[in-house]
Amino acid sequence: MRWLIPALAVGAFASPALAHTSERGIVMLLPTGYYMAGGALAVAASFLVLMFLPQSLVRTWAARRDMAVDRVATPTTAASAVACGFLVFLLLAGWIGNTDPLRNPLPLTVWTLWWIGLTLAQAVLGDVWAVLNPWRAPYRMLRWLLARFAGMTDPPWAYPASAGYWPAVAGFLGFAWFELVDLAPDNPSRLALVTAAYTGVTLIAMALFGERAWLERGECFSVFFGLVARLSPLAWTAPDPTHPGRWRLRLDFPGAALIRFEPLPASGVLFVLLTLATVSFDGLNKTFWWLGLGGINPLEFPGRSAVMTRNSVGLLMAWATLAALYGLTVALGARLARRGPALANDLGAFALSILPISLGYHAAHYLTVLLVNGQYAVLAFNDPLGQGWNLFGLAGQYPKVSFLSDFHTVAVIWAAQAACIVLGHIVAVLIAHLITIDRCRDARAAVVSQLPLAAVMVAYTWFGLWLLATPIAG
Amino acid sequence: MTDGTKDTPRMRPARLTRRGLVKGVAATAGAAAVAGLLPGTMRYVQSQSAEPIKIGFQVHRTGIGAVYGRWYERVTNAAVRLINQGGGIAGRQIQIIAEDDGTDPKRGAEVVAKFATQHKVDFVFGTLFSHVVVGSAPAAGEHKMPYFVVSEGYHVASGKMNRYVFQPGITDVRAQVGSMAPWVTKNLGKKVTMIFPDYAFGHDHRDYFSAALAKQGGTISALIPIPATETSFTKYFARVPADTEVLYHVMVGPGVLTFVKEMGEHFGSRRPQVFGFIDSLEGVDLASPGLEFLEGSYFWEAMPRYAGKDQTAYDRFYRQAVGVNDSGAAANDPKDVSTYSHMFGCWETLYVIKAAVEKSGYKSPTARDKAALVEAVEAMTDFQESNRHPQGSKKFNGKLHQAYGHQFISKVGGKRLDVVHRTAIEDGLYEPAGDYTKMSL
Repeated sequence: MRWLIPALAVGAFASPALAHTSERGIVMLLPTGYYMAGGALAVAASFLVLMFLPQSLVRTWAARRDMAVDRVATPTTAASAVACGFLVFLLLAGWIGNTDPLRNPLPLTVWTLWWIGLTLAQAVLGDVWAVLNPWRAPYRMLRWLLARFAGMTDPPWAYPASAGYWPAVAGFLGFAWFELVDLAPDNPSRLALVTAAYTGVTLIAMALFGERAWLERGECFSVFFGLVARLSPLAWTAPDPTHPGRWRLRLDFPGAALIRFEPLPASGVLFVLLTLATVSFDGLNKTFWWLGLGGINPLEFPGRSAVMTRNSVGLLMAWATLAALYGLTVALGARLARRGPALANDLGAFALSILPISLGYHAAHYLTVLLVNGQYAVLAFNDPLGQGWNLFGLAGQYPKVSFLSDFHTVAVIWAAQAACIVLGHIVAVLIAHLITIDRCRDARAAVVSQLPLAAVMVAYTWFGLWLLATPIAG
Repeated sequence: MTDGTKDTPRMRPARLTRRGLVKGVAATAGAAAVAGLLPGTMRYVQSQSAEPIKIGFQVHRTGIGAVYGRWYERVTNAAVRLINQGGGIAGRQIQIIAEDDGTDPKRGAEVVAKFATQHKVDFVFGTLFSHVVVGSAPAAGEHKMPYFVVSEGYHVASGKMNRYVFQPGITDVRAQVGSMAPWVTKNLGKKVTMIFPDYAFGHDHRDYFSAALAKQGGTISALIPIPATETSFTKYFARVPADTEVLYHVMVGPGVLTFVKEMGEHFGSRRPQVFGFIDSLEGVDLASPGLEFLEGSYFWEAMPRYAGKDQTAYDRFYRQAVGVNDSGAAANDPKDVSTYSHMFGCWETLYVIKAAVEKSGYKSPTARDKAALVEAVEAMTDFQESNRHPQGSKKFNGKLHQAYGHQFISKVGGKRLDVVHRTAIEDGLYEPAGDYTKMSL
């Protein structure tokens, strides 16, 4: 508790508290109230339109179109080996490179290119992560060594069905905590340690339970990226046994792949809700409203160390609140449609419709970080190990960030962010509708059962836009 | 005693010549070093035989200070580049080791400890936000680490830090605020209403300015505190008394643009004189929407953001070295407005460190050398306006570890600021509250 003493002493010397006016200051001048109302209405309207469209038409839309484009299957082991080499290089940069997190490629790659960028790439291009996963190649090598020298051809344990997605839930919760609560998640050597430790745990778990089982259920990022990839309009299907080595590209309605997914178990539902809770709380915890609840002055935000407990509890509360809201909403829908016995199944199915919302929040919330830190990332690779290299001739360059202080570009960026939120919810409403008509033959019951979830989605649209408009610290 | 520097604007061609010379004599490997292709340590071997001076740069890279941190980095890099090109400090190159403190006091203390034990730096510098300074200073004392902050807070001069904490590059806020009163009362009016955020930052302005105003024979018409979370301000303007001659405002945070817009809507053209602190709009373009009402109003500036008719050759030199244009924005991104009233402190502090090392004969981070360095800084009294101190001359109070410089009052016109007054250093001086030289080393 020693750190509390300087923290308390701050009151006597608080000047200057240079909380600056930022892009949020400009956003506060925009007519965001209209955007919020308009966004919520758009989602409500899209729901109503779907209700009146013939189900056959909606089904036709959602049907998969075969583009008949073949591509040579990527040799996953080789691709993974390259990715693994890159990971090792990044870890090295984390340990010996520049100690400044905005000049070191490790934090910029992990937090910006990978967490923000790859998530968006998955939603557009499909499951790129399956190819770029850096853990497959070392695992396969380990497997080969175990078979060759220890005679262990198979993993010793079968992944227990009862474990569901729980390891992924635990992993993602730890990740979210590190991102939102930890004191220095950007610190290169600290992040290198955490990344190396996670790599170790992943390889051990893969060795124990097998590559496929662990990556599909236990490893939180593969689970997350795999789910997000199902929002992509591009669906790469596995090779035909008669034409090994060739994958087939099909065109999907964005998100339609989700309705061909088996309903999730309880752990999977909680996983999806945790992804949304994390990005929502990331926005919420900096708002004047949230800080005001704890009596924290947003203009002299005391720093993460003063809010670690609050934010740990807040993250869990956001998750619990979303889970309760979702559970009650789906239960109400089932009750209205008199589908009581199918509730557990409904919960597992409709959770998939949350994913586009989560992705919409992700895109909106991290857009400006991507635009600024993406530039820092490029500059960091000019001298990745902090040795004074000038690989791309970018030494002495600084990123351009004025688009965050210009009224017109801020207005455009805000509109793009709002569009991400609204679009995410509209796709969610559509997917929920497709799931419903798949499961509910009675047309009237189908409409009624969707009402509660649609209402929550409309409200969550408004909340998402409010998060983008309300004043925040920093 | 001065900082021992007398460089004039004529220094510029000399610097270029010297750099040309370095390039000229470089052998094949040396040329590679100049081009930046050799590892860092190799470069020192090429250019200097001595080990580099390692300076820990405690920078707000993340958290609410990040915008300032970005500019502190640019100024620091520019100053280090110049110093190194000019032969470094006592013939040793500067090596900057930057660590992000997340604008957090606990992390700040961890970073200072890390500098001392892991990076084994010679000095630490660069901290801006007051709560981080206050949180980190004990760690600096514990590790006997000379700690040069660039914060403008009144913490150092309050006497409540320790022997190792200095603020030689920027005037503290108490002196800044106090030095405004003589000009404001003489030129704008004696009846002042203050609108300020209702917490320590605003309270400091309230207390320091009220006291300085009283000394000038002025009176406070009203004190109007605004809750920190407030986002709508019209109701507060209604409380400004009709006899107010000067409205003094110091709002900060994302609500500033809304504050100014609503101030304009409330007062229209029938308004009192308006005086503010540029802290409200540091890093913000004066052409931003909503700021039209500020035309004709006045601001305190520590260093004039816009190059005006009184621009010194030193300011020109500094701007060019940092990459800032005549409007105070990034030369490579003209709408990216710098934190011009604060960041010069990094530049000047590095030159103070250089002077102190060279004067004290500091060699390595031993207790003896550090003590000699601390005493050398404490013995400084004046910094002359120069390329090394482009903001202006300063007096340094060795007992308080604090520098005091000229301040500027600028008028908004044509969406830019033009200096109308430069204060005397004495305008801001106050009764000292402590004496660090009596503390043990």
